[in-house]
Amino acid sequence: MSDCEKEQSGRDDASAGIPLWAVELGCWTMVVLAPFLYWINGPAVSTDQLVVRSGLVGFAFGGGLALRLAALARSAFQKDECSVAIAEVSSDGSTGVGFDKSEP
Amino acid sequence: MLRGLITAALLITNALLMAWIGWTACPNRTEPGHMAATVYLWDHGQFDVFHVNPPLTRLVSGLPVVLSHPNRDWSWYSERPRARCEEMLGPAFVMANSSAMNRWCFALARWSLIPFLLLGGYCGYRFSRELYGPSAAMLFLVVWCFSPTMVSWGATICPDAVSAALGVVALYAFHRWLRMPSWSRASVAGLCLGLLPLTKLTWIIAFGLWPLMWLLWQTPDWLGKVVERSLLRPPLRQLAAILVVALYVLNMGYLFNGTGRPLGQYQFMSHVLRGSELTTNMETRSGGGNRFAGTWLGRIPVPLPAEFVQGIDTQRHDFERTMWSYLRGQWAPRGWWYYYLYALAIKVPLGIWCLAAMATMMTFFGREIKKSWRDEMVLLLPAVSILVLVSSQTGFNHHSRYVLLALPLFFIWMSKVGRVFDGRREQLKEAFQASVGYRRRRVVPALRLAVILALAWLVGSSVWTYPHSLSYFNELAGGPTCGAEHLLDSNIDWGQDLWYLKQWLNDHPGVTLAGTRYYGQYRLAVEGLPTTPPPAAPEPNGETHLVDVRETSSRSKNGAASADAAAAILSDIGPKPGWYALSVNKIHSRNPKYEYFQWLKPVAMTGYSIYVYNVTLDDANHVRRRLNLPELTEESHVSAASARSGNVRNRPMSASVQNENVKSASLSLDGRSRT
Repeated sequence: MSDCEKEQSGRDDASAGIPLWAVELGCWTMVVLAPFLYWINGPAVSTDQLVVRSGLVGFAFGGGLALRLAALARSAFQKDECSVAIAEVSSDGSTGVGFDKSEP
Repeated sequence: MLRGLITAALLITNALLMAWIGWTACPNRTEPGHMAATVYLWDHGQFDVFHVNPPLTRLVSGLPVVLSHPNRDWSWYSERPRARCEEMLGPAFVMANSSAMNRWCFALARWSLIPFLLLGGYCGYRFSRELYGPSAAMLFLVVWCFSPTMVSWGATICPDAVSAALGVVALYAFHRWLRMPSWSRASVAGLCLGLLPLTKLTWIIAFGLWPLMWLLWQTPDWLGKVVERSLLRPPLRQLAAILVVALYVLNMGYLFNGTGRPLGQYQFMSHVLRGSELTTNMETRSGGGNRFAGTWLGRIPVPLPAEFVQGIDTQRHDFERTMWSYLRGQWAPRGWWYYYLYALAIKVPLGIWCLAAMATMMTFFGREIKKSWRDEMVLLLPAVSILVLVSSQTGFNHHSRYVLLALPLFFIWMSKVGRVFDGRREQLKEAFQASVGYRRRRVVPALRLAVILALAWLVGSSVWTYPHSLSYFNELAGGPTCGAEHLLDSNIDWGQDLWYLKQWLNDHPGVTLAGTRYYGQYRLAVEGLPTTPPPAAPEPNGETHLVDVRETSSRSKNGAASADAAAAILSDIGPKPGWYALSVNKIHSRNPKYEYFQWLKPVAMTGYSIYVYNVTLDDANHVRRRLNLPELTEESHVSAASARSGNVRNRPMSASVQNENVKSASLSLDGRSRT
């Protein structure tokens, strides 16, 4: 794990009240649970229930997908930032963040 | 900021979930009685109607109802203290108003109580946050908002959920006072304590529990390794002030009606209060007694409102009367001590049980991260006391909602598992490793994963049955469709799905119900639904029907008309073709009249509490064979219908054939009665 990523991970932990990965996991769990719940509870017994069930599965799937895409985009963005930072530091003659040879 | 937004979003979701049920669910079996008592209280200022339920929720929910000006019918009112006239006043109120007015009044009353639930949720959130941290608080809120029991009962005007919510508020206020005693906190704690028994009589135990918790809080920490030197000792005089304020608030809720009445002047019905002697009061035409009358105890003024004391007596009397109770397909003349534990096992979502298991594990093994035993005592002592109290009342067991008061307290306690999301992972890992005693690198991530999965399971399972959350049963029980195999009454069918049946009939205009059997106090006629009951199966001893048939046959052996009438009686017994709608409680009732519907497959369910059957001639005959009843033919079915309508001369079947049917049926019924 690069220093950049460690720093990011540390920030995640510090504000770990509601981590996004947890919400995403919850969404996908809900999607996976849906067939099992249907098998146990049977078909909807009212129109209201049908709407709620459809909404739940749709919301969970949409939320999971959106969060996954956001995580992928963020990861790609961070990689770019890290590589730019490393390239900048390398061009200055240092080996990496916090390990500058020029420092005593 | 984000956390605040999520908290608000969860509470709003909770309110919307309850509000929608409040609009769509038909008044349950006790709600008409509550409604009548509510309006009666606002009209007459009297607390005697439905006095086993204290008046706080009635005072609040009654205001919007009275402002809507519904019609009233007090002709069934009785001054007799234990007449339980709400049983008649409730249906009378429903009948006096149109369907639309009923729907509007009940929705308004239900919605007016939702703020109590929101307050309870918010105080529970704060309580959990102060004890276990921000993530634990968020976890509590998710459990609170999606617990099917809280959502379903929070959407009614029954006081159970409101009482549970105020229990959280009162305990939170008391705990704050215990931790940092001051006069202002003591007065708030007293106010909240006083409101508790104004919602449910069970909370009278709070007047004993609060001093007990104060006493335990003072106890030196002999067992703990670290003496809590900084612990403040709440003074006794402030505790006394809390109790006095609470008593004052309780009496104020009843407008001080009958406060200070000497104990000997009450008329009690329960054995524990009246003793063995039962006298009849000719003035009120009610039986009663008083074991304290004529003793020095009888001269002591009771510092409680009279109706409150009478309510406790009536409730106690109800539990002393043994009533038939149902559990796991068996009827028994009284209840079981483990009824509520069993009900919790199958009515509480398995996701919550997983969280409870993790919380237990953290309590026993997570020494470095658990809270002081004093804090947890404030949560667990009332919760366990309530559970023990209701489980000890085995006169009858019908309603798992009696333990609802304890549920939120368990929710707060189990929210401690949310701590795995607080702080840096390394710190938590060290804490766990120090506690558990062995080094497992993956223990924190695994716990986080388990918590997320449990929460997702809880939310998914609960929302999946919404808006029929009252009938919720977890996956262990097989879901709500298998609920009646375990529990009946308000656990699955409290008459809440009648409006869904009406909606279903509107959506299926070709269906005409031949019979309806509904479990509830709401009136079918108000909704324009047929009130004809479905044909009943012969009674197990078969005597009644046999006498009818034999008498009819013997009057005139050769008379076609009498044979027709006898055949009509027989064909009236047992299943017949047609569309029927029955409540689950009626199908599984102790009276086996409609037990035969268990052998038929419903074509539709409106909610999980009303089953719709389309009984064909083949279905009917299949069941009739099992019941040893003569089979129906197209002609006999038509002729029976004609005979019932008095048009006997036009029937197509000959009298001799009918007589044969009568004889064979009599034999069959005789045989069945012997077995």
